[in-house]
Amino acid sequence: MDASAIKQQIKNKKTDRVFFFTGKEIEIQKIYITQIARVNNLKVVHLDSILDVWKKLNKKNMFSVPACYVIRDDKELMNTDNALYQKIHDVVNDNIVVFTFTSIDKRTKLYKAIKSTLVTFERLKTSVLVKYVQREIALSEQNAVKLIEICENDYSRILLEIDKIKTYANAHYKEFDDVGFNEYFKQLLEDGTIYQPAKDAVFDFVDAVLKRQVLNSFRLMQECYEYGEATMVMLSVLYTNAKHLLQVQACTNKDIAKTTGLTGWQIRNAKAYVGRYSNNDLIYLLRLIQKCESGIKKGLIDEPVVLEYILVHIL
Amino acid sequence: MIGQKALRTTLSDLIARHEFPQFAILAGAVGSGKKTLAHWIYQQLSEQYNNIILEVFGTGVDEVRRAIAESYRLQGVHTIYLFADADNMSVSAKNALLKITEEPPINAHFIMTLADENNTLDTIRSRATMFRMDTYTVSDIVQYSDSNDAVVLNLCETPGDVDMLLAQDIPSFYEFVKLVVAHISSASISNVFKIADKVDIKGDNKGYDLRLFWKAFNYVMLHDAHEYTMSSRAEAVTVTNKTLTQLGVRGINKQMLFDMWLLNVRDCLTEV
Repeated sequence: MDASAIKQQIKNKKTDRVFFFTGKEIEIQKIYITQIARVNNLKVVHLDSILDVWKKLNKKNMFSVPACYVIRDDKELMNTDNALYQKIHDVVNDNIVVFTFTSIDKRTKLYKAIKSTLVTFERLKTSVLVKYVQREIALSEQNAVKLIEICENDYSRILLEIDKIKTYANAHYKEFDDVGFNEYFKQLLEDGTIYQPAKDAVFDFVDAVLKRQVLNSFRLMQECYEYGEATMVMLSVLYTNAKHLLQVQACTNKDIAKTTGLTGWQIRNAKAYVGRYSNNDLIYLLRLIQKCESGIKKGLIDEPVVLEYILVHIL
Repeated sequence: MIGQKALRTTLSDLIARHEFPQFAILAGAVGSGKKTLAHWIYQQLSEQYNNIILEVFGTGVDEVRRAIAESYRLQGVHTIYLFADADNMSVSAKNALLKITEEPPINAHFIMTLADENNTLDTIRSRATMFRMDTYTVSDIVQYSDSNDAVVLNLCETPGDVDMLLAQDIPSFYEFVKLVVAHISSASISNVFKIADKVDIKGDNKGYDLRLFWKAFNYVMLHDAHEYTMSSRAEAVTVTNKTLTQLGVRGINKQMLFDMWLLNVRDCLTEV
């Protein structure tokens, strides 16, 4: 089942009684749960496990009021051959039960049983999120896209950052207007109040390598070691960024995001390095890094010399 | 338990003679039924000893130390201490195990399961009795899967493979693999890495199982990939098999391994 089917149920004010949700986008799941409860005139109650729900549903109490019960990551349910969730349908009556999972093992009997009704909430596309953002705060489309990219399409993070902007605007006692919010967003970005993934020694090192700055690369490599950065982390970050650069550089299609599957932020970062290495050079670099990484894991290559070895070969 | 007749006969004989080792390693491919066999051993020993206990521990150093403390506390009580999937056991955890396996308490049996017997210390291997899982026959797979589906029989070598495959939508999975085979050579470099999005590389069960995907790739490459020359198909299969062996290396970066496999297969394939 997908989210649009639930949307339709909410529109028709006739929803199922038992739901199974999974996926990264927890904030959107919360919105759906709130709407499902609202159309059924129920209060949302969070419980820890299916056993708690079972007790509530089987309680014969004159004063018990139906509710929308939400259970998150019930380990008991996920790890065992617990068939209680199948019997929930028989006792749910006017209540609603929503099981949510951060992730679910596809090998389990649970997954096989609920596969057809499981709704997955993945990160929303930027074009969809722009509308959500502009509903919350009057940002220009350009700034809305920038905010979404910084937050990596995570709706929870977007809402947190919007809250910061609104609080900042409120503190300055200015009118809530288009110009105001866009200015505040720019100021909060500049002074670092809006969280952006911090550039650190490893990223500076990778930046130097991808810009083909020989002296800087070796210097920053030493600096990373002095900071105690692990070789594996540096290899991994260098690999990821080199791969993104290759994907962006080799892309002939105008819609780079659709072709490569990269986010706007990743594409923007990669574009800063285009042209310094040929595609073949980048493929060679990726092979070299992988060879070194597996060599370290197999005990064939000494970890301390790996990065120097790579820099000497690629720069 | 399906299959493993010869191994189970050996184990039954040892148990009947009260000679089941105090430290045993069950080694076999992922999904070959090592944990099931460990539970079977527990059932066999239960018939011999009343009140035998089976305790399952994690492979962290704290868990190993807890197991050792338990074994001294329960000295005299027949107990099996099972360390399942010990391939990723840290060096400190392995070292903690060394002493107890050299002089185990009376009536304590330690069982460790490993996908690759090289993923443990030589000193631990020398103290243990190694039992290697037998290969499953086609009739074992048919019996376990309760299916004569050609895809299941050709791809699955162990009950774990069967479980993994049956958890997928087999026609979709097969179509996906055929699509990969058809386009892997011609897809642009900026596009081809997206194949990894559909495969479970991070181990978070989102996507098709990596091992199964490669096995299916080999099968399709050998039987269905007529758009490529025979020699290049054989080379692609060799590349995939070499990559599959590397999956067992402790801590290997699967994303990098998968990307290299993509690049290497693209390099060796020649269209007819």
